[in-house]
Amino acid sequence: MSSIASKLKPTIDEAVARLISRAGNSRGLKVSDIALRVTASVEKYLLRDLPEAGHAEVIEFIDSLRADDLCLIIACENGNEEAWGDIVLNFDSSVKSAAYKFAKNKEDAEDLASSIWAELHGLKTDEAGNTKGKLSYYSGKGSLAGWLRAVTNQLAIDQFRKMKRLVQTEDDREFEILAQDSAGKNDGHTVVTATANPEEIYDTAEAESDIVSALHEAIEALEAEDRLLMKLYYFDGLKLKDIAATFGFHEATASRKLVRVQSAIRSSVESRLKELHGWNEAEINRHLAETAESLGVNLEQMFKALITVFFVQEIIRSAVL
Amino acid sequence: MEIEFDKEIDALLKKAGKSGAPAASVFDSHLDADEISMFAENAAPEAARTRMIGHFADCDRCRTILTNVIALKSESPAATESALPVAEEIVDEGSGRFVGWLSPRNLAFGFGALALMFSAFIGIGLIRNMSSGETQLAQADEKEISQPATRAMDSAANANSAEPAAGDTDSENANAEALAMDSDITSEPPLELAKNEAVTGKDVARRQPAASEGFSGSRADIGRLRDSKIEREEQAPSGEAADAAVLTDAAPVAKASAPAPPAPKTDSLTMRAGVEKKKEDDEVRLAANKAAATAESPAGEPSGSKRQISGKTFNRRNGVWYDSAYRSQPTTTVRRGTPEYRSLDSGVRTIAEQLSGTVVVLWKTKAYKIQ
Repeated sequence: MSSIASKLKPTIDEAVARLISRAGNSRGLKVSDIALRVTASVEKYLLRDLPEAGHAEVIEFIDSLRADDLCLIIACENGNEEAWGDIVLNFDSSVKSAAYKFAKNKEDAEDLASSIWAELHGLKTDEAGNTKGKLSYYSGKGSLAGWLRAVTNQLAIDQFRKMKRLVQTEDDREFEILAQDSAGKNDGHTVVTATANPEEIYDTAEAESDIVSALHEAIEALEAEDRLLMKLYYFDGLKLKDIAATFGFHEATASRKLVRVQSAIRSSVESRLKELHGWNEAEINRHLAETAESLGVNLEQMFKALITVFFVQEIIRSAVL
Repeated sequence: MEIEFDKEIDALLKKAGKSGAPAASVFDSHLDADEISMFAENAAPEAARTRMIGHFADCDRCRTILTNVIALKSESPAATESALPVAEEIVDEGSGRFVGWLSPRNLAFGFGALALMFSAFIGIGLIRNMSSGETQLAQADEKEISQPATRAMDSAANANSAEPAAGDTDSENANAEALAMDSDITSEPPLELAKNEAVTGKDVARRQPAASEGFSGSRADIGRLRDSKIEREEQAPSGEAADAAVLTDAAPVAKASAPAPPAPKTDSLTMRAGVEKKKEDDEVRLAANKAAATAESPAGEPSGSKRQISGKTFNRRNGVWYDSAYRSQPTTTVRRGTPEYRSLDSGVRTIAEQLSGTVVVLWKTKAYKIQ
């Protein structure tokens, strides 16, 4: 415990006592059982980024903790079998629904969920004989169900990447070959420029490359929140409703922010193209339109190739298995 | 929600996303599951949040996990987000069910349905009361008819017992006396009425057998009286006899409806019915007098007039509209405004409403006499 935290210990103990009284089922826990975990959370999430935080901020932080979820987790860590039964009974569905996202069938999902419960329970024990698993990383700030989903995702991604490194290298190579063949057959022709003029084809390809690099630089120049908002929407496919809920504002606010981000990106791209390549406004507009349209055509061909590769993968796996 | 995107930049960014982001920064350490989950739920402290945003913006691995956690969170129901879901779900289901019952919308529907049911009960009750009241009025009407009819028969009998000439005079006197009892008849010239009553007296005298047979004023006797009258009309539906028939109909009715001296044994219900009946009979009497006046003097529809209604042709004879298809079949007499009238076919009622006075119509092989 840091020196700052030790100064706040009486405040923390008082707030923890209030937390226990708030819980619907405190599982017989005392202040001493929970205070250590709460102190660690205060250090990690409050004092680390706000060292000057005072008693009011500490009390506010502890009062916002999920009392029942935290008591349940700590009781499980203490070896309370009834608590383990409750957590599996009440949250197995959350773990399995997260596992389904990664598994191809029900059996694989249940296997993944079982391995996650084992990870959570942990195979190691401390000096007191208590099991040490990932449960110790739960602070109580977010919901237990959300934490379990995040843990499931983390473990599933780690397992998937391990499997991918071992199994899917050849398939990736095959995908690359198909993608290159598709691009090669296209010969760089686009819907907009249907001529076979080599100079025009070269100019178009160069323009696309310039625009894409300017786009990347414009994205990097955005504020972190704007960049995250843009990536969650365009790269990760989240709905504006969900993005707004995550950031804590209204969906209309999220849409306005996104439009502002688009405008900022466009301004940045145009200024970079003018500055680095000497394009005038007409050239910029023309190349942007051509690039956007040609990328759409290429995307369609890439999508067809992707489907073909997917079926090939399935055939190979079924033959191997 | 539609957003006006810059389409070109939008296409370029999508392509950049598919082909892979620019070479991401290599991080020595990544965010742990606790940090990722709290950021996904917007639960990270502000200072830590800024740091996490910077990391997510450039780390594909952590951002991929974040994306998956966000997607799973949006798909999962809220009930699984607590360490105490079982008990809370039970409580929520029960209270939710009751809350659902007591929601404003359900309450509004319930009250509306109750109001409709209440209105229906009130309407049914009113209709029944009206029907029973009319039945009571009709019963009271028949009772009152029977009493004056008895008096009329008695007076006719008295008139008939005298010598022919004197009988006529006596019948005139008797009828005049009877009429004198009707204090409401003030508009007709008494002499003319007396003259007509003389004819009426003869007609009534012809009906003497009914009285001699023991006319007791019962409903059956009244029915026989009416039927015999109808038969006479059918046999000689012309001129003064018809007019006399009308008057015969009208006069006894008028007399019957006249406010006779209260019978000693009349109960309160009959008295009330009688008062109401008096008003109704006044209207009928006036209508009958008007019909008679119309028949005598062709100021309204004269005899021989023709009307086309509902594809039928009606001829006016002696103040009565006759269906051209009518061939002296037995008729069923129905009075306007009675429940029996309302139960008639709408076509018959339409004809009766368009023709004033008495209407004899043949409807679906059945002959009706609407008065």
